[in-house]
Amino acid sequence: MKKERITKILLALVLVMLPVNFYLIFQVAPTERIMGDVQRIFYLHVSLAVSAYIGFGVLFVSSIIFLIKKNLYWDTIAFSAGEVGLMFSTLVLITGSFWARPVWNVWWTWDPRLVTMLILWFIYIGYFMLRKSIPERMKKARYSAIIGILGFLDVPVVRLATKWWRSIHPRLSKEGGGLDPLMIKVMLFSLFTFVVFTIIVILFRFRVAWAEERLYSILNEMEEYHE
Amino acid sequence: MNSMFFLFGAYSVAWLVVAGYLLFNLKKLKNVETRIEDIEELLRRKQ
Repeated sequence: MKKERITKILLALVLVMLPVNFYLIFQVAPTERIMGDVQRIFYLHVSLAVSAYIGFGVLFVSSIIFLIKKNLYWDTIAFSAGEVGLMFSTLVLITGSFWARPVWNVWWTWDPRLVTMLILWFIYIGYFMLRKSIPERMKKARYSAIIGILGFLDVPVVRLATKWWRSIHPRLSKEGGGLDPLMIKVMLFSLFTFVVFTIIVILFRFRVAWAEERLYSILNEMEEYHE
Repeated sequence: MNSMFFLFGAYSVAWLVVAGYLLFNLKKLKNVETRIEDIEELLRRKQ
C-alpha cells in the first residue's frame, strides 16, 4: 500500500514537472549563440543519458543482490530496469544523431564517447539476447546477472571517454562547461525531471514483469498438477 | 534542412518511442492481469 502511494505521488510529481520542463527548455533557456535552437536537444539528450545510466545502475545492483540471495524478485527488477535503460540509451544515440547532423555535419562519427556508448548499447542488446536464448529460469537469471554486472563496467568508460581520449563531443564539467547560468539551471531541472520519470517507468515495467512472472508460476503449477 | 527540423525531430522521436513503450507495456499488463483473473475464476469454480 505504501509502495503504491509513493508511486502515485511520484507520478503526480512527474506529470507536473514534464510540462514545466518543456516550458523551461523552449521558452526560458536562452538560445545558444553559435548552434542556435538545435542546442536545445542537449537538455533532452543529457537527461536521457542519465536515465539510461540509472536503468543500467539498477540492473547492476539488482544483479549482485540476485547472485547473493538467489531470489527471482531481484532478477525481475534487474531485467525491468535494464530494458528501460536500453530504451533510453537507444534514444541517447538517436537524439545525439539529430544534434550531430546540423552541428558536425554528419549523423555519426567514430568519436570515443559515441563508440563507447554504442558498445554499451550492444552489451545490453547481448544481455537481452542471452535471456531469450536460455529457457531454464534460474540459469537465465544467473547468466544474465553476470553479463549485467560486467556490462556496467562500460558506464564509467562512457562517462570518462571525453577525458581519456581526444574527443570532439561536448564535455560538461563542474564549472558548467561554458554554459550560461540559466542554461545550467534548466539542465538541472531537466535532469531531476528525468530521474523521477525513470523511477516511474522502471516501477511500471517491474509491475508488468512481476505480473508475468506470477502468471508463469500459476501455469507451471497447473501443468505439474495435471501431470 | 533547418535546425528546427532536427530539434523537433529529436523531441518527437524520443517522446513517441517512450509513449509507444509505455502503451505497449500497459496493454501487456492488462492482458496478463485478465489471464490471471480468468485462471483464478476457473479454479474457484472447480473448488
